[in-house]
Amino acid sequence: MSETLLTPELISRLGRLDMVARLVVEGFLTGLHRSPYHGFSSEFAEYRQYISGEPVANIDWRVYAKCDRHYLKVFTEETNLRATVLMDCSASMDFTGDPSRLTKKTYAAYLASALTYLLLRQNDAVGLVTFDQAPLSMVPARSMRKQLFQVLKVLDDLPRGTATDLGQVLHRVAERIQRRGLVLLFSDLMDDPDTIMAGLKHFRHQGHEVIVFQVLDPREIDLEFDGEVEFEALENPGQTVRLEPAHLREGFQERSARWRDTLRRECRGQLIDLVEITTDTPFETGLGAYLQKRRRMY
Amino acid sequence: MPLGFANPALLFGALASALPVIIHFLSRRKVRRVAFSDLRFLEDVRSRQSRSLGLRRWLLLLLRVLAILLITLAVAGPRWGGLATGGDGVRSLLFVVDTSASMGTQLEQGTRFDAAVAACGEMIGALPDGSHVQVLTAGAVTGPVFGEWLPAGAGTRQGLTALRQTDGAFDLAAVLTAAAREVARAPSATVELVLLSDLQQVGDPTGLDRALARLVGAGHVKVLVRPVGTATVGGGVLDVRLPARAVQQGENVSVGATVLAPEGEQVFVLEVDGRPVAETVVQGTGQVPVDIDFPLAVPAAGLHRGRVRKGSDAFPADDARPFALQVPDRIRVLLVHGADRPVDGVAGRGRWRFLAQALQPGGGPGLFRVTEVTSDALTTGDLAAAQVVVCVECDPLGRRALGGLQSWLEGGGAALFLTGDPSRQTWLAGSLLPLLGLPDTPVYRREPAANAQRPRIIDAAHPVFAGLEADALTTFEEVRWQRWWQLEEGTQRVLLDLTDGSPLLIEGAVGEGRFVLLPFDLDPAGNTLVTSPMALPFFQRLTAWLAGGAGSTGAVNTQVGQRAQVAVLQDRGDTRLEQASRLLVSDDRSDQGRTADLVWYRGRPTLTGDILARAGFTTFTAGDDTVGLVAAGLPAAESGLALESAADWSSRLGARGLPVAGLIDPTAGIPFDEVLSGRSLASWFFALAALILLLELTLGRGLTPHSD
Repeated sequence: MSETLLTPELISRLGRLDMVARLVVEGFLTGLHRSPYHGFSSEFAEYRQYISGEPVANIDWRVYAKCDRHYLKVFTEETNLRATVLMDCSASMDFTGDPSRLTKKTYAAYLASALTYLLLRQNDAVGLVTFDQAPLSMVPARSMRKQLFQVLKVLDDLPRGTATDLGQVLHRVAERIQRRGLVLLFSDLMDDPDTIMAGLKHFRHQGHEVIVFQVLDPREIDLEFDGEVEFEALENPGQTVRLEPAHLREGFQERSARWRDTLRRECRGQLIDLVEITTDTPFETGLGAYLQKRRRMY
Repeated sequence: MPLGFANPALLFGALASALPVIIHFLSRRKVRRVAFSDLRFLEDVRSRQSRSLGLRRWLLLLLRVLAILLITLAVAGPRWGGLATGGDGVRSLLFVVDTSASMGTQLEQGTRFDAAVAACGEMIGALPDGSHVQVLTAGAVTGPVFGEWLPAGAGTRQGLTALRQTDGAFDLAAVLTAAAREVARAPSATVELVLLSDLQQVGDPTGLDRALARLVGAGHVKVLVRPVGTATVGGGVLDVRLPARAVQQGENVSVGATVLAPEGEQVFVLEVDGRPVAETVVQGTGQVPVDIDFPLAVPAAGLHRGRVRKGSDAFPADDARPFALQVPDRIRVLLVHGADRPVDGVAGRGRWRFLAQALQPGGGPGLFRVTEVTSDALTTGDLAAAQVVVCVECDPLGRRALGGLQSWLEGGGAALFLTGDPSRQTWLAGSLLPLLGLPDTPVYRREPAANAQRPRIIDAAHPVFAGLEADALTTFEEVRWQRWWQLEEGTQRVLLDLTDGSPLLIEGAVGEGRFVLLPFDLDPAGNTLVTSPMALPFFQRLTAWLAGGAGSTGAVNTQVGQRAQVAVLQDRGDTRLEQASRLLVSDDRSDQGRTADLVWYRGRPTLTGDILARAGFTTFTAGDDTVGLVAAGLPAAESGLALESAADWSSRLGARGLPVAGLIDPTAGIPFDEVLSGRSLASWFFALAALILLLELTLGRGLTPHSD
């Protein structure tokens, strides 16, 4: 399935999260020229002829010496990766700038579902933690097939949280995940960058690889609102700001860009992959980011 | 009001300028409420920029209101200056075209008059539809050209071709009076009076204030001045002075002239009947007129045409001034006397026979032809045939005769009254002195020989005494008076009195005529005049002077603008004038004669023609006979070369309640319709509105369209 057909809007109409996850992942994999399931384990599977342009790392040079042909060694998958999905359920994640678009939380849930499906197909263990200003629920990491349904069940019914205290939450979650693995954080990161980075550093300090999916609505970046608008804080009902976005747009975009630059710079410094993604972005972008990270890990 | 609008009704569109304000306040109420993820950045930015945003918003609102206002004003046709029409929107323009003599001054092309007519035509052509026009001429004749106000158009312009320049004067009072009549008949309440003139100095003529008051009272008048021509340097003949008494053929007299020779050396020539007879050279004296004299040997009896001329210049009308000279064959003297009484002797009552002999010695040929009539037989026919009436001790005249004499005098007659009869005090005090305008308090003086009074000549330069030798004057002053009526001189002029101050010769005027009163008779017992060798010259000179003055007949020297009118002599029983089928008047510029009228004007048969429009001669003929000659000269005011500015006129009229609303400057190149309707500002308003909109777009960039 092509990328253009797999838009978040279209996916959202399917409703069932397991179908969504499967559709996203299978469609994504169909678009790749080589299978991501190969090459990550040490158990030999077969030989196949080398095709020009492929990496030469897996060429079996002994076979080449015997028959003067290039063959690649193909291994069957076998992994013991433990991935933990951290899902931000704070009120700010319920924002959407356009009713026809997914909320950030829904978008993040779809993306997390797809990644969970992908991970479990590789026999990786996947766990889930939801939180707002404190952890709300936790599904321990397992690699069983029924784990998919347990994770999707939680993602399908994410609670409506309140305010965010991301730094504090990350610290608490990091304390509870003892075994090293991959941490996938889905959040809008609407908090103080310093406290966020402190939390993320905690994961890094414990040897986790971290991918941060910063999910934002396009309106949170461009502030494309017409007329005079009274903005009300989702995480703090009653707090309002009345202004004309058209006039303040430039300043807002500048301020927002500076904030994201800070996060980007800090994450790079901690070897954390920050995937900036908006809710109108195809899910494949998020999956691609994960695969790149996976390839670097192995 | 300097700023006006072609379509004031469209100004209601200015209400549209309230739209931005309404939209502004309406849109302020439409505030969307949006739940947003995080307000930190918004609060940050708002605190920095909200104040400037507010100012900018109000400025934008102001600019939008201004732009709409300006566009509305531009659509309404704003005009700066010009003259607003009355409430009815109809324009009525009264063009006053100066047709006076000074308008004959040559310009590079044509005359000032030609330029004025052309300008008038152009203005009429530029008038908007629906305008009405009337044209007034202001020269020898001041009056409307059209019988009624006409719609502006080609027909009206064609009517201008009938205008003719005259040699008359620009009579401002007459112009304003005529304008008042036309303003009262104008189709609109407001009338624009456009004066096309060289603005020659006209001073403040008599009746100006009254005429102005009439014009201001006639309607709402706005005056526009269109100057034509500039001042020129020239010169001319301002006036000609002929001898004030009747002259005889062959007599050497002096013809005087007042001339203007602004610069250089100018030659002035006296012509009689087309032949130059004398010339005088005048050095330039600037704008100061000078008097010069020409010697003249009086030509044969008859009517003669003369003129004083100079070389032609840019203003030809005053380069020659005509005059009519009448050299009488004989002066007709009607001697009226009272009936003789036995005591009066052969010399007659009051010594009238002596006087008749003095004027016509021996009854033979001479300057005077004396006809006698008793006072009780005097008729108006006798008076009509006389040039001078000499009344010697008349009996009291009847009411009818007295009225006839008075009317004849007022119409230009000349009379000599000689009365010294102490028994006629009632007639003297009750009738004659009141008729002559003298105080009616005569006192009869009778002095002994030892106390006889000598005469004193008060004005030796008077034509009666002018030219007499000193011995003659001394001889005259040796005459003695013992009896006379002592009169009060009143306002009349005394030429001769006695040593005790009693007036002895009173000269005065009655209407257009003049008289001389001698309050004594010619009885040697009363005075020694009859025995003096000066008696004859005294009475002859006195009578000739009376005949050659205002009472002259057949020839009149007048000025343009007056009606051609000349008194004629009509002998008793002479029906030549009445029987003539046509009396023609013609001037030397046109071959076509016009019918003249014979009317009795104040007891004198008078020929009248049209009002004189051009300088020159007008001849009255009856059959083949020339019976009258009128020489019309330029009015004195028209000979001046000085022009005034529109500002001078503006202040003159403005000081009297008629401000000049505008000046049409031909050198400024401003079209007349622009002067009339003002200069269009629409393009400026549109341009300004466009600039403001551009500024609004620049300032409003980044703001949503309905944010204000």
